[in-house]
Amino acid sequence: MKIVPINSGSDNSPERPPLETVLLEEINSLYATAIRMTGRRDLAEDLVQETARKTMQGASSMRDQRNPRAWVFKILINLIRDHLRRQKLWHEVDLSASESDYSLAPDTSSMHDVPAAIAKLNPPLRAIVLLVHFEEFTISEAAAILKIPPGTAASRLARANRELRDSLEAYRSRFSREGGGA
Amino acid sequence: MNCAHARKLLYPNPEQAEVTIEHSEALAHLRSCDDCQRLFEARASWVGELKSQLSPLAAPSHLRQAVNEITQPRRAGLLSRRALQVAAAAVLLIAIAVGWLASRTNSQGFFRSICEDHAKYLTAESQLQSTDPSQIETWFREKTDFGVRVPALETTNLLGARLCLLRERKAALIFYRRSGRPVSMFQLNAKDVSLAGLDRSVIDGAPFWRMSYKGYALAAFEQRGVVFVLVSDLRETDLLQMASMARTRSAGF
Repeated sequence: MKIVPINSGSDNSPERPPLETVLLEEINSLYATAIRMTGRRDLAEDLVQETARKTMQGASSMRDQRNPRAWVFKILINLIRDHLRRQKLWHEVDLSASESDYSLAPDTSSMHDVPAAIAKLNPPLRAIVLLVHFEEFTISEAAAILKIPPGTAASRLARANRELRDSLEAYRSRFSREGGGA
Repeated sequence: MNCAHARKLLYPNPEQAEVTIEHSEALAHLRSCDDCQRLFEARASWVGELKSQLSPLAAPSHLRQAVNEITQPRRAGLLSRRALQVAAAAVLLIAIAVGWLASRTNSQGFFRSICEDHAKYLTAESQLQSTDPSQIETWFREKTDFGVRVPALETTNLLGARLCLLRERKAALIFYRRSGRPVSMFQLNAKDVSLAGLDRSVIDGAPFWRMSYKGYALAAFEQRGVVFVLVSDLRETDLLQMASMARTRSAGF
């Protein structure tokens, strides 16, 4: 296993890309996140455009922020959360300590219908999976984007990973019983 | 540190985990624990597989265009600000260049007029005929707003002095003769004169300025707020040597 130097999540580079560049470079990621969070392409397009507008409006207050990419994703996730809350689809996750299994060893042989398994996750769990696994934010960055403590973000991710694994295992079992092949 | 604690601290992987004060200790555990390494490898492999199962979603071109338009005003603003900065810098550079050129031209014009003045008054009589430097200095005392110094120069005859006006600047003019050739030494208040239009030389570590005009050589130097300008039809090197000597002698005053 490759162990790389610690990423503290802080950006010490003196030259940060301007927000406009981040928006245009990350547009595919923003769009994909919006679709996977809402399930609707038209809504995802509106959310990304609104993210761009809000980003530009808040550009002056962005000066002190060290991570423009996380800033842009935070705006998008805020918009998505607001929308899903209005639709009563965003339910905060109640995590008990026992549910945070950090030693869970997942099985790569059960990778069937990943999009469906991700879509099945409760939106707050789906958000942490998308941010950490797909957008490769650190736990600290994802926590800041979701406005939750880092410990909660790690617990949510552990819970989401377990649900994902269970969901994928269940699909494999059903797929095997129905006589399908991989 | 045990495995469970290290796994919690390094969750979901060492690169993305929250950095705490125990992070390095957890990393040390990971380096030495085969079970933990296997777990993190399996998890990394699982996440990699997970990602590979999701097809990429590219933003449609009209969305890209819309976002591009939203960011345009600020980009245009940034561009125009940058263009303004470049233009301002260019104007400043041009102004400096023009100013320098004008100053140099103006300065050269002034020193040409000194050469012309020397030629014009070659036969003019001194207002004060004297071979005594101190007498000449005393004579100038009430007439100029700077202290005139009259250096006694070897192999050079001091003839006398007169007060003159060069382009509305009051100047002390001292007449010498060297190798049979007349030499005019003008002295002016340094505040009224710019040497920028002349070529610069360094003799024995001291700066001198020089030019040639209509067959006359001119050598100048500045000392204690006074600009000394020597003009003659002597060779430029001879005149510079004389200027150097005058500088040394007048420094002792």
